[in-house]
Amino acid sequence: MSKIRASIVAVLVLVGLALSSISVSAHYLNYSTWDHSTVIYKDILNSYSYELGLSAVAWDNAVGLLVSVAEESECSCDWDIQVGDAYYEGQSWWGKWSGTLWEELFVDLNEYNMSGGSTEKRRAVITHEFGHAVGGLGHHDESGRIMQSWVGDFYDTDGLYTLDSGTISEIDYLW
Amino acid sequence: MRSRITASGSARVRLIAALLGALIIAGMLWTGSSLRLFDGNTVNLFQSPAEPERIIAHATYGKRYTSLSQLLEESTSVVSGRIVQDSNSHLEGDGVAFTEAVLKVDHVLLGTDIVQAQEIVISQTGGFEPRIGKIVELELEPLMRVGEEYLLFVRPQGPRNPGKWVVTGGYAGRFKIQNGNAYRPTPDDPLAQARETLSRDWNGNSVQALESAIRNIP
Repeated sequence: MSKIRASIVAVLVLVGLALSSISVSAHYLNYSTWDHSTVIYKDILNSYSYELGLSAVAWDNAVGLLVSVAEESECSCDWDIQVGDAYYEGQSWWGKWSGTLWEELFVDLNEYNMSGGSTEKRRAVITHEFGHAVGGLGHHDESGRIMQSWVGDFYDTDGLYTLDSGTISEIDYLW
Repeated sequence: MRSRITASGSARVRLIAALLGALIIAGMLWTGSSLRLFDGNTVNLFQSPAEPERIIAHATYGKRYTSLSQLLEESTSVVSGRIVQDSNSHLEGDGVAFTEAVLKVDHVLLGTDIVQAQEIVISQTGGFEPRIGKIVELELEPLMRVGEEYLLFVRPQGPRNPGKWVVTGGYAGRFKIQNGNAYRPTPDDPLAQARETLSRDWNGNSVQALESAIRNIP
């Protein structure tokens, strides 16, 4: 049932983003120009497509229709952010990102930790990682921010799983 | 007369050539000097080809550990020792690199599953990733290198990796020992630093005091 729901959401997100017109105006952040970001997901049928879709929509709204998401096998485009998940046993991180901002970024999700979390918690982690990869944000350890350094703080304590008003304001200010 | 002019002219040419050469070398040193090859790749002229460039990766951890007893609750042993091997790397999942460091245990502070003088394999996130073409290291968990000394809270990595260990909480259970003092990597964000009570309490403190505090955990 959850797979069907995940597939429906993923399809809706892909269709919605395809139909929406991507802004052509350039955005500037830290002197870098960035027109839009294409996120590809390596294993969309495997686990977190539902949470990924919701997080992408949240960021898409926040940065002004700049984010498009596609499954790796369906994407013949030049991708900017590649999201993947796997079981990295014993490692304490839930998500991490590496690479070069505005060029090629890799977001890795750790199923070892993520699989034990609720849908909202997984969504919180993905939204947080997108804050780095899509929003170009660093950590912001003020209570009530999704960009706090620890999942325990932004989700377990503050209950955040999508973008908070402070982070949206920060994005508005930066962009 | 003509031969004197030629001689002084050629000396001038040699001087200009030497100056130009020195300028080019200085410029390469200044810029980090990479040379673009015909195949489109670049090589760094002043970096050993055996040592690719390093890049920092940023991780989001589940829990903020605020005390030694909290770390101990999720560890099976607390040990100190020196890294004797650091070169065994492999890729997992979507191309994430892991490097195994071997720690020769000098002291077992707590726990019964590791004995003194044992060499334990510690699995760390990081290493050379072909997808990026660089050595990736986590910001708060730089790869442990041969010769470095550590005090570590550890636990078995899990059933899929028998005989291997991980540091509890990633960077949280890791104290680097230098000149008799313990050091911990700390986050950049000042607000995160304020919340990092373990770093605040122990960063730069004596290892003896740290060991004593660990042994006295009720």
